[in-house]
Amino acid sequence: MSTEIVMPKLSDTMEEGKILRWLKHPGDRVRRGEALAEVETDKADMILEAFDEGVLEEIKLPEGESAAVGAVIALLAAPGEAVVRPEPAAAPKVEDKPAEAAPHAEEEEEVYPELAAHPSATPTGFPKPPPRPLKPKVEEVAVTPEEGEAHKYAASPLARRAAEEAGIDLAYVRGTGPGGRITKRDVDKFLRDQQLFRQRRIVAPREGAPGTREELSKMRKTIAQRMALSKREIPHFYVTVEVDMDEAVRFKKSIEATELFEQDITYNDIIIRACALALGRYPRINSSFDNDGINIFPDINIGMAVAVEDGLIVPVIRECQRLSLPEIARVAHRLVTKAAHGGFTSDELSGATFTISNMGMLGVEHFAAVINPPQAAILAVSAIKDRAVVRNGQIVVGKTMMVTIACDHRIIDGVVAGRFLQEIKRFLENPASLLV
Amino acid sequence: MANPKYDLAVIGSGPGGYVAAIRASQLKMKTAIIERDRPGGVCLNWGCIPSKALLNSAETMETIRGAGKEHGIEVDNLRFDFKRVIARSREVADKLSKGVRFLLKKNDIDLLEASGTIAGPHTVALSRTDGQPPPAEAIEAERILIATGSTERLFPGMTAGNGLLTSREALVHDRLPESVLVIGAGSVGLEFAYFYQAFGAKVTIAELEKQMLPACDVEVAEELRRAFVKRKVTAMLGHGYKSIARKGERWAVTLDAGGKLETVETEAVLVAVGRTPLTGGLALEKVGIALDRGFIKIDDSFRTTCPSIYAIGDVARLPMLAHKASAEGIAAVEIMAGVRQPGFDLSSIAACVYCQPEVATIGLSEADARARGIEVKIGKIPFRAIGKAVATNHVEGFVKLVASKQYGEILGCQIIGHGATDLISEIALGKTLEATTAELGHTVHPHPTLAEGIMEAALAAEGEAINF
Repeated sequence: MSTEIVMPKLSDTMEEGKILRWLKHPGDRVRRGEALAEVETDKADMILEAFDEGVLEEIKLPEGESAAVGAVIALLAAPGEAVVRPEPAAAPKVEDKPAEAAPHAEEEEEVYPELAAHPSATPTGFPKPPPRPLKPKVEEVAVTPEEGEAHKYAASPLARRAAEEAGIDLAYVRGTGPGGRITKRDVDKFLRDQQLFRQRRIVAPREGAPGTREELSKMRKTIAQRMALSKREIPHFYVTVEVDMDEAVRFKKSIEATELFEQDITYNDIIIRACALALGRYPRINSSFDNDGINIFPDINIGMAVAVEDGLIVPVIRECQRLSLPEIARVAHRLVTKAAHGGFTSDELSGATFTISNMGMLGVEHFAAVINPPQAAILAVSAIKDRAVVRNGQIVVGKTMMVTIACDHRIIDGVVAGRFLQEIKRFLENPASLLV
Repeated sequence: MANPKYDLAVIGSGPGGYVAAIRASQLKMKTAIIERDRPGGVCLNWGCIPSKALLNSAETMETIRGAGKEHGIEVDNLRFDFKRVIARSREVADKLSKGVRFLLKKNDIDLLEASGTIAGPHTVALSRTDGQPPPAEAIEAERILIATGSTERLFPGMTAGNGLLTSREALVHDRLPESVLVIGAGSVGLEFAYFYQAFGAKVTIAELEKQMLPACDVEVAEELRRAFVKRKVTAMLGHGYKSIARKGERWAVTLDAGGKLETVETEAVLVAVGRTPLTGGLALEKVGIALDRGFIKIDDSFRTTCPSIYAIGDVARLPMLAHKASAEGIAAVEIMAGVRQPGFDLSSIAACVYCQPEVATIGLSEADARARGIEVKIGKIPFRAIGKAVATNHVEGFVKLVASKQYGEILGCQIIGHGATDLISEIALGKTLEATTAELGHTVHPHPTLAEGIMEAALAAEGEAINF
């Protein structure tokens, strides 16, 4: 017996909702309270949560389409149905997912999960969840989230510490442990969902109201000065290569499947690691023009441009030449979390010797970036897309990604830039080398 | 006549199979269990239990021997009857095997004493080798659970006999050899090495890797090596097996230490180089059950590539541990019944060695954690800093706790010392509940106990140890 999932009334004036993105796909197991989809309403983008447990059977309303409140948007199969019958057809296993799910939706989700937390999307965007299901025994001590007494929720000590560190109110986290207890996995999942939600917000940033004038913020002024200085003084030239990402996508999936590392490895981490290795071989890219000299930096400090409200900051991963891929992932994750919650130390935002600007999550085909002085180059990373590629004389679908480097022509020539990009391409196309 | 019909047929009554059968019966499944040998499997009859009985005899020997020097309790004319030592171990195994038989009966589970062969996705054919008729030609079951476990491994070309032993032969070998070469310093090898030396045999232990318990924390392995050397065991680490020859009444075993060959002459040889999953004779290919490096391939519901057939325990995957098999058996049956979500956490399974000092480990070692890029803090407390250990003369060993730097998450723990195998469960519970160093350190532990070592190690990880 399947249950119908209907478009909920997420605000009191809401009449219809649009599915921005399905976070679950047919065949996925769904737990009560898990995020199912992002829904655009008249007020805000909201998360649609599951009210029942089961396996998502069918999506009735595709992404990008709207439906009236109360309309059936998906079907949920009961969990019992899924497991009692030995025939595999009853319960599509997780591995079967790609065959069943809309492949595009899934790839988009997989390709840019790192997209940074965005502070402009404050937690106020979250609908308050309905009261958590509690076992009758503990009902008398149950409090509603509105009372804000998070410490009364059943949660493991580790989950509490992780939540405290990330500044999360446990009232918003769904527990999946015994009796609905919140575990660290639940906190991690909440953070991931929150980031996915925020990522969505970046696509529609708040623009100023027409006909008004705004004073520039301090950050905006700094950006204006430095970008103008860069374009005025640095003779930019640009070189682009297309990187075959099939292996990198497989590599990332296989790392995830083994759960080898504490921190998930993102494409951003993989690209940073490839750049660090390539910069080690081409120190000229990791340098600075200085009137009549070239300063080659002793360390490889890679800055990653992260969008924040009305601007952008560039947290720095220091001494990348010493860091393994999981170490890079850990530092990058910490910095991205800080970009959302604040708490940077000054050396985490300065001293970059090379910058990566990644717009992959915005589906960008190709772009070029402006060099951040006094650096000599910046790498612009576009989206990983399905493109027709020629392999063994056949046109097949492959995943490729455009990367464009902007270089300071006073100290870097085209040949060096081209070779450097070839080097990055080589590492990304042979990703096992990144673990060495 | 129609074949008997069941909801679940379990093949193998070891710690995985019989526990799964009982849980299935509790969940109202009509269950049969098929066993070709004795109920209880290797664990009860040829492994964990009888070997612990032998080790208890060995420890008693060691205690009496050391009594004079330590306690001034002199024993003249200390003698022992090795046949009785072996016989006691068999009695213990018999008692527990009967216990399993009783539990199966109590839970209305049909014990079918025969060999099982998969004859179809829902059919198990039964046969007996002793000429007796099987309890039925075949049985039908909605689901089949394979829990056939594993068997001792020998090197190619070897056959047991004449003092060439695996653990199975050693358990009934009732003549104490004058000298024993143990090949393999894993848990089984170490336990028998300890056993034989306690009764006065000249024991040599050879291990291919450079440390005892090759997968274990290096500090633990080194402490263990010292403990064995102190007990006059010759440890030949980095020595791989090359060849064996009969030389008169003795064995000449040639070992290879990185190209340098050495020959050891010995009365008995105990081969303890791991176990092989038992899949032979099941006719798995008949229903398209795939193997993965010798193990039956399963998904996160313990389902094999034949959807009505499941597998758990040693036959399905590492680690080969009785308690893992039991826990998997319960999980598999509960998933079948739809009362549990698929998935099974292998990261909180403790592994134990029962020689003296005992070794018990769980989760990540310091090296494992660092290799995964986790920043760690370590709390290490030697038992000589623990009052109870000094008072009871069990000062060998230490507790080493591996916690994440960020939250104090318990990533793993290694304990070497007396009672380690009982102490480790506190950490297992802590991991299940996601306790951190704070909870372990702030839980009041009774004094004096060895468990204080765990509390102190948790405090030590935070730089707050009181007694060290």
